[in-house]
Amino acid sequence: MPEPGTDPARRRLERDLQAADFDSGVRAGLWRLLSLRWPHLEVAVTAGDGHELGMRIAVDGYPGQAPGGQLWDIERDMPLPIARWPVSGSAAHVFRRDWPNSNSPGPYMACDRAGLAAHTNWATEHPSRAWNPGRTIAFYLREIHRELRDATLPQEQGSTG
Amino acid sequence: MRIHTYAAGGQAAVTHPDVQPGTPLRELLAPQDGDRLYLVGQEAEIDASRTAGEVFGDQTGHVIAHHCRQIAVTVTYATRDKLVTAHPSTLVKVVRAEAIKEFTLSPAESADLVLRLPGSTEDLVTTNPIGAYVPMGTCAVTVDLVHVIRPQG
Repeated sequence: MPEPGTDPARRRLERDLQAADFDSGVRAGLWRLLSLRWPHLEVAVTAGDGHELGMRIAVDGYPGQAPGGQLWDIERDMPLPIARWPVSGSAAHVFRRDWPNSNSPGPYMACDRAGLAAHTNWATEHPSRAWNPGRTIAFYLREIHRELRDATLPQEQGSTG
Repeated sequence: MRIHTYAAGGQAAVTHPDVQPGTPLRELLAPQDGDRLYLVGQEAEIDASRTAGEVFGDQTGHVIAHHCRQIAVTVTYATRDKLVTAHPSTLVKVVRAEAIKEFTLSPAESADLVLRLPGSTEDLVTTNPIGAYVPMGTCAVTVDLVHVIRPQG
């Protein structure tokens, strides 16, 4: 239960993390919640090969502002090295090494804040894919998961995933 | 404990955040005459007089009340129709997979396919039960299987 005076964005996010669409994604094995260290949410999203992709998602301003995701090495608590980024399927189009910049890359998607900020036409031209304040964090995760359905995640040598 | 309930035509679930374990399921779903209760993703009927604690233990629960025993899902893809039958509690992702099989689409062809209600621009939620998208009073629903268009440039 959020404490009085908690950031409204955090209260709304915590409510949405209890909602059916988020819970059903967990139940179906599409994703799992790792932590909420405001203003960042850490999740693991399951890829087509069964391995999990860590993501650190900025959620300040939620849901008025779109989430801003970054591929994340959960174990080391740092950005995921490019060598371990998802490959195959649509992954190369969505997880671009140069987007929005090489220092802090994120998904090239209309549900992500970097994509929307740089492409103001996406919200009107792709409303079904774009973030809007009526969306929930589960929508964002479904979009990510869909792009990972046929992706594989390179594993570190010696890792069993 | 937290219970999510679904009903025909409801599409979105109703979340009951603080359910006491001794609460009978019928108090959460208020089933109409002819409705039966099912755990989402499972076909076995559950007794509406059973309590939330008996059915779900300490886990979060997903349950649907529905008047149909079977649903006829007409799936349209590229002007062709295929019929897929499903239980009301069957997840949309299972219906999608069945439809892809019926249309004999390869993994490469089908990777970016989503289901939508005709005329809608929103995808069906893959983890919802298909029964939630069936209008009240019928046991049939028509859905479109469409390719996702990704924003570029």
